[in-house]
Amino acid sequence: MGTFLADADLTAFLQSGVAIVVGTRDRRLAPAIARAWGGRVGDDRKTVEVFVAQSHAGRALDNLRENGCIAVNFCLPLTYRSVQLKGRCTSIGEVSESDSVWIERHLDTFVAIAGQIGIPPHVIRNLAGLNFVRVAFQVDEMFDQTPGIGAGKPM
Amino acid sequence: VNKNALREIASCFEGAIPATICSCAPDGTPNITFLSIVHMLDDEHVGLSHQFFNKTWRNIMSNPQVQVMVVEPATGRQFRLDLWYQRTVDKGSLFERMRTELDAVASQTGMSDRFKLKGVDIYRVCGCELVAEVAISVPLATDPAYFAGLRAVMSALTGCTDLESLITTALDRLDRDLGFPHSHLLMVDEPGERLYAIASHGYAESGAGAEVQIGEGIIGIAAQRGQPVRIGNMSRSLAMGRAMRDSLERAEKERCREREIPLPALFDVRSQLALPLLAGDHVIGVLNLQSDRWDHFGPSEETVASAVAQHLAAAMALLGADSGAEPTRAPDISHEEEPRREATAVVKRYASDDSVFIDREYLIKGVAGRILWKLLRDYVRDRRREFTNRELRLDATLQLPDYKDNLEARLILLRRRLEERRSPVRLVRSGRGHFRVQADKHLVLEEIAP
Repeated sequence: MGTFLADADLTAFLQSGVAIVVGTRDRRLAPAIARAWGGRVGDDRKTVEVFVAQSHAGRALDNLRENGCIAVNFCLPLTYRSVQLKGRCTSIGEVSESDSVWIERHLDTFVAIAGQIGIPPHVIRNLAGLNFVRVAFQVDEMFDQTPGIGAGKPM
Repeated sequence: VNKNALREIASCFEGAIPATICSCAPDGTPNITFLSIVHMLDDEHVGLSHQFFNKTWRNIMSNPQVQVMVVEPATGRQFRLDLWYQRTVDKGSLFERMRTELDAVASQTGMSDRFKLKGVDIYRVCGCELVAEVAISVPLATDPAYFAGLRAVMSALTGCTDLESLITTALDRLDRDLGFPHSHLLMVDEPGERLYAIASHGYAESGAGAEVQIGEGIIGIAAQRGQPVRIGNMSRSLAMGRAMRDSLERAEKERCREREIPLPALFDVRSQLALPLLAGDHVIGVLNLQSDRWDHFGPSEETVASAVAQHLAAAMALLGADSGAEPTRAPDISHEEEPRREATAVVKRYASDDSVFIDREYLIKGVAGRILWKLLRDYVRDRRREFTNRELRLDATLQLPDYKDNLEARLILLRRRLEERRSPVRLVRSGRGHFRVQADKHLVLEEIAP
């Protein structure tokens, strides 16, 4: 715990055209999922930010405000390389103008990548949603989630 | 959950876009991961495959509630399903169906025997909620008018009186009347170890004579299990398979390809449907459809193409059973004096695998190789030109199996293969059950002992 430091390779991966999903849970331990965009590693290399659309968030943001428990999976559709980060949500905040540009850049990249496996652009745009908030979390654990014999191993 | 809720979003369960599953450990730590496919079992249950005893598995053993998010591939609408784990099954028809699908993908990427399906986890659906209405809506493609097309295919097939016109018509009509432009037809060989291609449609090459091991790849698995295999998003499935393979050491070496004919494939194949041809309870071949369209083959496409495959198999069996009606009369053995030909072609046969090379170019091997060699030997030695199917069938040296369709199928593949290689030798049909051997060059035969 507390030993997580994102290196250059991991940072590049988390900030590339990956699919991002956020896992949360309520007080009865019932899980809730939200999709996220624009993954970004903080300057301290210990925190990571993602952006969640309020229009699509369901119970996930409420859960994060209530207990902070978070798991986020980053997966590149072309190679299936996947990394899961687990930790504690430290803040939920409004997005700045530069954040919006950052989110849009990620969406564009993801649309291009999804296109390579045959998913049309409008489908991806519809996944994204509206009214984003910035979700920052401190990473406690990291797991290699690439399908195969090593899946689920701590990194 | 509303009784029709799952049925209304059935396309979410085709596996075109990965689903996501979130579980939670007893200490309150969530776990989230991608899933290859969620199977709708009935109005209230879904099944998830598991190949590994992973974190999700450990979590549901102590906390059975999970959430799954699925995506409707045509629209991008997302749905959250709240699920409650009930039990795991490791046999039965559901398990077999999922195993076939997974094995086909694993095998296509050379991963057979390494990632076995351990079980199918059955969950009760407690809630199904639309995430949000979509921002961008596009007009949805309506189901093509398959019934009229199917009727047209069936009528065309009914008019076919020999195997060659039957298969050519079938592949052509699948394209014209049902909109499946790329197809292969493969037959099972005698020991039941391989399939060999006799025809294809919609590719630059016919691939006649190409072989596929039974149990290998999507086509081989469909033949082995006698079940259709449908892959909605090939590139995704293959990427998944590659990721799995990369997690292991790559020990496989390139196989020697000298004596192999490649099966033609679309450069950008995105979906595939392999259908077994069943005669009684045994598989006689596979009809394989490919598409460059993502998710081209849904449940209605599988239904309509299966009907064609069944009809085709029945018609083949009928033609095979009828082969007793072939002419028995030995053809006039014309010991024709050939005009002296300047050009010479050297035909070599390697006895070890019955492979035949013409002017050093590989042509064919196995049973078809034996047939060709016999024909050319009689052509050169006895100066025979006309042959009947029946005499080949009765020729013990060819070691033909008793299953009747196969000789005709071999002759078709041989004829096509010779044409495709622009070989100096041709087999020309000269009537029902007999044909003629023609050569543009003077043939010199050489036999290489094993």
